[in-house]
Amino acid sequence: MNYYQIALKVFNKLRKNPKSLYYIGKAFIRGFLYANYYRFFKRNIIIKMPFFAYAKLNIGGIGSVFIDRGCSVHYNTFDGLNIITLSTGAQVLIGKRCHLGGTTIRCQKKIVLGDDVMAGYCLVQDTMFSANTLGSLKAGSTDILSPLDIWIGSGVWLADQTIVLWGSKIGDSSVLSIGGLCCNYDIPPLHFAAGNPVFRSASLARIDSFRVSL
Amino acid sequence: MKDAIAKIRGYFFILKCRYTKKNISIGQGLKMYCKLGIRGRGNITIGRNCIVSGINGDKRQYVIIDTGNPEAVISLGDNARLFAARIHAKFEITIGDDFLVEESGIIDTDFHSINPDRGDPQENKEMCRVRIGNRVSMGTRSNICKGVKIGDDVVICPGSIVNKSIPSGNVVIGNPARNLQFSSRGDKAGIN
Repeated sequence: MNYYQIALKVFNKLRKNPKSLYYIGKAFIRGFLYANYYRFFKRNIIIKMPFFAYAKLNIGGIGSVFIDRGCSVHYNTFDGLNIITLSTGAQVLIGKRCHLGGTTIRCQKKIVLGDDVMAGYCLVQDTMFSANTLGSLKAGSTDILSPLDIWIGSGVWLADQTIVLWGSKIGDSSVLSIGGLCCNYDIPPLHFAAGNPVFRSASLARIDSFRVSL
Repeated sequence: MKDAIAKIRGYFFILKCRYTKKNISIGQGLKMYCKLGIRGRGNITIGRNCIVSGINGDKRQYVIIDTGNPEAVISLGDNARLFAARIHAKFEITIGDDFLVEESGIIDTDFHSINPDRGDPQENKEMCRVRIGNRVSMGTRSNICKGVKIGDDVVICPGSIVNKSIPSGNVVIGNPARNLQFSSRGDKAGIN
């Protein structure tokens, strides 16, 4: 995001609602403090400025986290953004201008979010059991317990109460509907998916044609 | 350091239960990494080497074991690992050894009937009790409903809701929970 674009955004918001300048400034200062805290005390976490923190941010673990510039964390009915890395080789990459509210990310291998992603109260997790996999689990199901990469394209909308599990790929500017669970499935770009679990997806143009006929 | 604190906390909790709450019996080697909320007057038995902990990413959640009826029974086997679990019994819940659960709930009643006055549901113990076998593991944000029997060596994936019985040795996912299959379209070389 250019500084010119940020200025334009602030100006437009100020014209509509002058009180919003106070909230934007507060979020900007809070994000500045978060970014500098992680820069000096935890070297594995990089947050680029500007970063707007309207709500609480919580990053933990030993893996590496990268958040690109222009991201913002929002209030939802739950907390802002929680990122937990579970192993040393874990990588979480978040693109530019993402809007995240109430999202939890638990990563053991690799999770990639593209640009302009909108996400509500959802869970992105690339392992089956995040807390503690030591001890006795089923002998035959060791393949299921190994983590797989997650790739989420740019412009994706993840609605409330969705779960994205290991091995799933979501194409550019597609939508995962409320209550959906995507597990080891490819959603192509410009598609709409729903259901728990997702078995098939329809293109957005086809859904628009239904709306015209109604 | 954390392990030592958890062991001491668990030891004092066992002592407290032995002298003040007669209905609770807990085996040795309890580790408490977070709060353990036990409510109700029903009988609760927990086996040896139980681990009680919160979930990564949400510090407010803790383990709740609740009996809604003085005649209710909850029994957990040895080596149970409870990460932000919520267990509520009106009749009976029996769980075997080596149980793993993360941020999900087990419940054996509906609380209300379907009628508009929401009166008493006509439930009995044989219809509603939940039985879970050995070496079962549950993922996050899943739920087990009333009257379910689950066999040994079952894996319940995250986000699934179980309302029918599962035979032993299965891996289930979805709402309602069904067997895990990825060969429906064959577009991905994943598991199986």
